[in-house]
Amino acid sequence: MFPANLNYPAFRREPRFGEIESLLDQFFRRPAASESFFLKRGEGFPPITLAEDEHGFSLEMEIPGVPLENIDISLAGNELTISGKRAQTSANLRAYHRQERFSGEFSRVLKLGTEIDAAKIKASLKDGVLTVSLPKGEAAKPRRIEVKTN
Amino acid sequence: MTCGCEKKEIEPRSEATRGARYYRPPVDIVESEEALVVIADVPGSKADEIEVKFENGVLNVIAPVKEREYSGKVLHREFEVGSYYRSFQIGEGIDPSQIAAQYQDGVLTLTLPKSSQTKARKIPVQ
Repeated sequence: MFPANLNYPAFRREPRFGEIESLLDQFFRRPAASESFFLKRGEGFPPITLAEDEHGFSLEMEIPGVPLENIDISLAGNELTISGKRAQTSANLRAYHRQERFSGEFSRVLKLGTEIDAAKIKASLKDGVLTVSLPKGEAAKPRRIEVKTN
Repeated sequence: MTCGCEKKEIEPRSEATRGARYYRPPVDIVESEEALVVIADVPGSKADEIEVKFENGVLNVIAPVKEREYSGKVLHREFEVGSYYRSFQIGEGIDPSQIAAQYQDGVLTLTLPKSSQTKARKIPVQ
């Protein structure tokens, strides 16, 4: 149900090397999102693209047919939850010939690897695409430390 | 996959006029007494760029979507960004001159009214 070609190393799971890999992950790659991201109910709807730069994360979600007031975004610690409901096609239509679109309640949970400045989260919705910007907290931003010599 | 939300890339169309990738949007097709209604998820496209054409009994829908740039590194990607294309064979019971299209929040709704012969009619018993 999820695309097999996840290119972020932390999401790849090969059973034989699983343990070693996760140790390597701990040391060399900081996972930005945990696996719970994938396992929660919602069946992959709405799909997410997540990018990270030095200032923070930006999340994009394809969520057609759901108005902003029906989308709930919450942050608890480092865990971001986006949930809501997509209504079924209007009830006065009688017979479904084909039903490929998702309808019902959805919830996606995403564990972010760094602290987020909750007060600065911004979300916008345009043409069915939700964009959420999640600025990192000051403590999580990279800092340049000057080396002084005497 | 039950929700049909996975985008599948489709073969380029025979008339390869555009070099872009096309994806097949998930659709619901619903029938009412008056019409067939086709509802397609085409998030990211703009109302004035969507093309709906009816020709030789085939309804073609193209919803262009421009590529987007992400700042920094993409950590995870569950969908690809690209234009949508899908075509539908329309039966004779549809009045093609009355096809209407409406777009809102990434959802395209096409209403295909039934021609007067195919509409259910109540025949009074005398």
